[in-house]
Amino acid sequence: MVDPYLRQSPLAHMHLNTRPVSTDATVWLREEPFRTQIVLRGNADKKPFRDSVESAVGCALPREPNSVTGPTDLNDGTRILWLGPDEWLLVAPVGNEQQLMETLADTLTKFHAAAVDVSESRTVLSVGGPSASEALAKGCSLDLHPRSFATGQCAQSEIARAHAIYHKVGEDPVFELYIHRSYAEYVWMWLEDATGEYVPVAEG
Amino acid sequence: MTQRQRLAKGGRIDRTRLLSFTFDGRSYKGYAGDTLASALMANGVSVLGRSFKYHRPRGLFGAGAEEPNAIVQLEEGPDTIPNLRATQVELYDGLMASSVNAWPGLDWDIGEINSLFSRVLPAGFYYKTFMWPASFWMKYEEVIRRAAGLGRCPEHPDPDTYDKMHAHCDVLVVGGGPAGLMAALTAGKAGARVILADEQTEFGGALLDRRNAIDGKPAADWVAAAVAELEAMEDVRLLPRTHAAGYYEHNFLTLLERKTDHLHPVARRRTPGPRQRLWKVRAAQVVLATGAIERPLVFADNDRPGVMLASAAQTYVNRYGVKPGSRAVVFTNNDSAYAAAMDLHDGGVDIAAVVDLRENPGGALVTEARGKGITVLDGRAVVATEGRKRVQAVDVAPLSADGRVAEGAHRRFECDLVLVSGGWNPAVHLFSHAGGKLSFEPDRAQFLPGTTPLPCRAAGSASGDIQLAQCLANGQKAGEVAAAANGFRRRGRLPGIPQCDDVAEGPMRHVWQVPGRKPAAQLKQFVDLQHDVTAADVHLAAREGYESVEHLKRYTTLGMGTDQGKTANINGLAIMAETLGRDIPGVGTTTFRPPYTPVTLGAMAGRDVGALADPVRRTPMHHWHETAGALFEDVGQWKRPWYYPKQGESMQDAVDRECLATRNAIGVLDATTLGKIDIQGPDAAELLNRVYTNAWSKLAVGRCRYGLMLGEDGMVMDDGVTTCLGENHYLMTTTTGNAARVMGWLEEWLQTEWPDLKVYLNSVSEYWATIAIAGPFARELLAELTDDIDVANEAFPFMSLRSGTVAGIPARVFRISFTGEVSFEINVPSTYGLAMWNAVMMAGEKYGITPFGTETMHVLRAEKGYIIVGQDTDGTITPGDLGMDWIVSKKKPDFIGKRSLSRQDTARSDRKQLVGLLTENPSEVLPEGGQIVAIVKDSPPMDMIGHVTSSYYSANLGRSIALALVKGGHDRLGKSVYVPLEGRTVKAKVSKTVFFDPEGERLNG
Repeated sequence: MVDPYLRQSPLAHMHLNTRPVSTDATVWLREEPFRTQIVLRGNADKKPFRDSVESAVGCALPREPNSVTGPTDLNDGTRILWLGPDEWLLVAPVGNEQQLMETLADTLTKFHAAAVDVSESRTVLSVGGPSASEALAKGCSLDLHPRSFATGQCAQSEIARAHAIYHKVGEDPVFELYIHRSYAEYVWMWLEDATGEYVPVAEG
Repeated sequence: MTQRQRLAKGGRIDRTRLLSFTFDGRSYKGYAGDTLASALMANGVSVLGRSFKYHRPRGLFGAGAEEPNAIVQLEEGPDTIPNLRATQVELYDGLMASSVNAWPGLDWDIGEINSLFSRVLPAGFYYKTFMWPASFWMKYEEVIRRAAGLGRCPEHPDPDTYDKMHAHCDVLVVGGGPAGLMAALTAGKAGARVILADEQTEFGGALLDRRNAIDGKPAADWVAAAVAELEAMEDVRLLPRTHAAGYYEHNFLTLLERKTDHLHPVARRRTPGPRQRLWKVRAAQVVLATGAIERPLVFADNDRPGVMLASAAQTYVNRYGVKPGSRAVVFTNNDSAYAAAMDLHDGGVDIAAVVDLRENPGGALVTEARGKGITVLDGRAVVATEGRKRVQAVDVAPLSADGRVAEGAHRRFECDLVLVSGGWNPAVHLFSHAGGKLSFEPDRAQFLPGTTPLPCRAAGSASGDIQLAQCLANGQKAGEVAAAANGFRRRGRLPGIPQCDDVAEGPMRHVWQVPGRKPAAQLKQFVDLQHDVTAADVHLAAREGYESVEHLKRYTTLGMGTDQGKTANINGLAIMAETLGRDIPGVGTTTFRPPYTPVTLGAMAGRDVGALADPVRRTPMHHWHETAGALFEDVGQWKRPWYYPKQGESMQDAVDRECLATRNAIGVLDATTLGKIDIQGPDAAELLNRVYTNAWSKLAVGRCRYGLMLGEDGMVMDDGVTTCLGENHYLMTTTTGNAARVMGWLEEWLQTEWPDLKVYLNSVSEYWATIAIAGPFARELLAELTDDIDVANEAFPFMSLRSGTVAGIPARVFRISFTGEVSFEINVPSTYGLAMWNAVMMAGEKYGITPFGTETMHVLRAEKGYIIVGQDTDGTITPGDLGMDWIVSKKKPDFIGKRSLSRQDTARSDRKQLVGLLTENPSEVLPEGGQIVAIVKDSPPMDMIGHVTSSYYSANLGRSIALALVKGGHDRLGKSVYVPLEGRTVKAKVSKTVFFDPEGERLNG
């Protein structure tokens, strides 16, 4: 059994949870580390492949570009994000990667398909609050307005100069950004800078 | 000083807020709501600058973006900004401004001497005079730049922040005058997402400058109601103080929002958010309601302070409550100047006369002006002006029927103000940026928006509308059509257009170059005020064959500068057309290019400055390295530890220590940054066979192999070790800098050339943290940290993989080596990277474990002759050039680059080949990049036969070593070559590339 205490998120050294949080801020940031993430590759035209994935992970493969299957609310259930015609990102709560990889390995042997654990490759940075989409628009060229980017949708683009997968969840929508771990500190610093104007500074 | 030109009442200024400011060191007062220009005018300051070439005194000419003369330097020190138009600088308390084009001062300017020599400063002067000798041009340019003036660049870092914002909308309306407000209202009510941008502080456009009534009430009431209605709409974004700078393909526009420019620098710094914001807008539809700019008349000495656009004077009196002068002569060819004359008359300015180029002008405004007792002199022209720092008088003479001669009795009018109006130019700049074609309307001599490939329409005076009601109606239509094009259709009937107080206007008369009392060549009839281009300069350009508009611009500098000829272009064009005997469209129009008005470099940089200038990629152990005092090397966007100096150590000391420790005990390297690609599928081995030069079919599970990847040209592109993880499953490593490129390269081949191959590629570079331990104690250390991997030499041979648990963490351990020592690369999930590193450091302490950086890695690999792609290769080097023919399969039917290796050129024997170099003096370290010759001459040029690619001092060998690419190098083994350096020449002997442990005993031990 591996001692989980040894694990460190990409932003652990910044001690984010020891910082005061402004209750007046109209945008907030949070790291959601260690989320289970598995890249799935395969031929979605083949129904047996789709059915096998669904029965293995309990979530259907989305076929509509930039769509997501699974819960749309904030709870972190099992979801599948469409990344490309033959590429998906399966996400699940922390600690499920081993069990899911084993299940998928059994299931996918019948097909030309691949499941690759990338849980360690990205961390999730959540951006929420009424000003979230405006703050993100400083570094995101996608249209984040609800009319063109609805809750429950995902997209791959950039945030500032780093790659990001955007996923919009929840009723008061939160943008979950999947960021490559080596870029996490840069993106966090960029987000802190971009959101600064939405965090009122105490008079003093 | 008092605001002696300020009217007792009126204007959109706040008289309860008195503001202090300085101009050229003198203190003045103004009001909130003033621009720097209106405040200076209120204080009676006439001369605001000197002209570019002749240094003639110049005053305010316009009231907005078109201003050519009143260019100022704002603030000092780090806050300073050059070349701002005083007409667009909002006044704030404590503002400091100075003139930009005068030395030593406005009153006595040394450059004015140029005026006396103006006969030797014609158009094209720079080109003709400073052409020879060409090598002196740099020097000439320096002198010219200094003499030419314009603003000073700030010399300190900018203390303010700037940012960028992406925005998307159904309808972008540029310009918040009557047409733009109407368009935004209509589109917004239909439910479209609308952005309305206007360069001014307040919305309303020209309605702020004039005394129009809408529905019987002041137009400002209508504007306020419209803005309130827009503000209440959820999906409408109002951007005042925002000008559209550029309009590009696919309806992409850049807008510059000046968020806190109107605040004092101290107050600005207290305000959250950026000083300026560059909006990058994708608009489904664009409505250009950018208005029109008044066109001046070209006549003799038309540049004296006090000569200004009639509409500008109207703006100053109506909007700012300032009298532009005491006694005015109005000089016009159309009716609109009469409205200005009457507004000034009502504001207490004595109108000496309206001089109208037309015979018997009959418009309603003319009649109304006459009714106010204003003298109208028709069929006449201003032929001369008097006065130096302020116009004092004009001479008026009758104009011939053809407009070419103004003879007969001159009549002199004393005045301190001359209002000019030559008609109106629709502001078609943005329409033109995006490839819109302009059409010419001859009666009013206007270029109007014609056809455009983009979903864009113009409305209001930008599209040639004259009457206010027409502007409102066309604005409404544009808003409706633009919204409907996006599927937003109005519910119910469109509201009616409000009642406006329009009157009919009479026709114009075009006299492009108003005659003076002397031939044009002896007059200064300015066409372009900012660049001192006269009508005579345009004639000269025509005579010398610069007939094309683009040549005219570059030869005379007409239309250049910070104002880009907003008041000059059409007049210049028309005079050229007249000179050539063509019509205006026959000459063409200059291409308008972004930006409409200048954009600061700060806004273009946005937040991509300082620590955020470029992403920094960090490994999980980055902060350990920082704490350990490592210096870092940039490899792509990664920061890699370069070396770890201890107190008092030089770089060479540290690298020597790290090198010796690794060969004699144990060293540890953070190798996380290498690219890693997971390759799966039944055709995975086939893919490897095609992209690498060697054979892959027989690689057993758990074994590793080194591969060279070539481009189609046969040149080395990348190298790395690939491991067979299982049946049809491989892990490829790439060099750090090439990770993304190799991934893209493989995907491109799979997707475009080999779609039949069943292979999936996935990047796992970020998944693994990699810790390489190397040296005589590496095996002992690993053994200590694992109890489920047998580390014995036979059980875990070189070039193999074992999976297990290391320090309690699941790990993949590769026995591979880039140092020539026994070496293990421990790979763990990245979140465990720091824990693993700490475990290795703790357990390794007793062996004297020494962290080493990329410099030591480079030295150790060079001792072994291992290449670094991109350092010892440069895209022109084949495997054969590297002496690596052994890795090129002769049996495989094909691989990328194979065909190119048999080309005549790649098979030459005298190609540059990789060799070792040993300097005669063992302590001499050759500079990398040093050129190599076989025969030394007294001085260059010498025949160069190659260059040094890698060069180090090797503490292990106690001497310097180098790798070099040398022509026919493989045949020069043992021979001497020379590296000529500044002041000395270094002699070296060509050697094999392996300097250390050539048998590889340590590696396999």
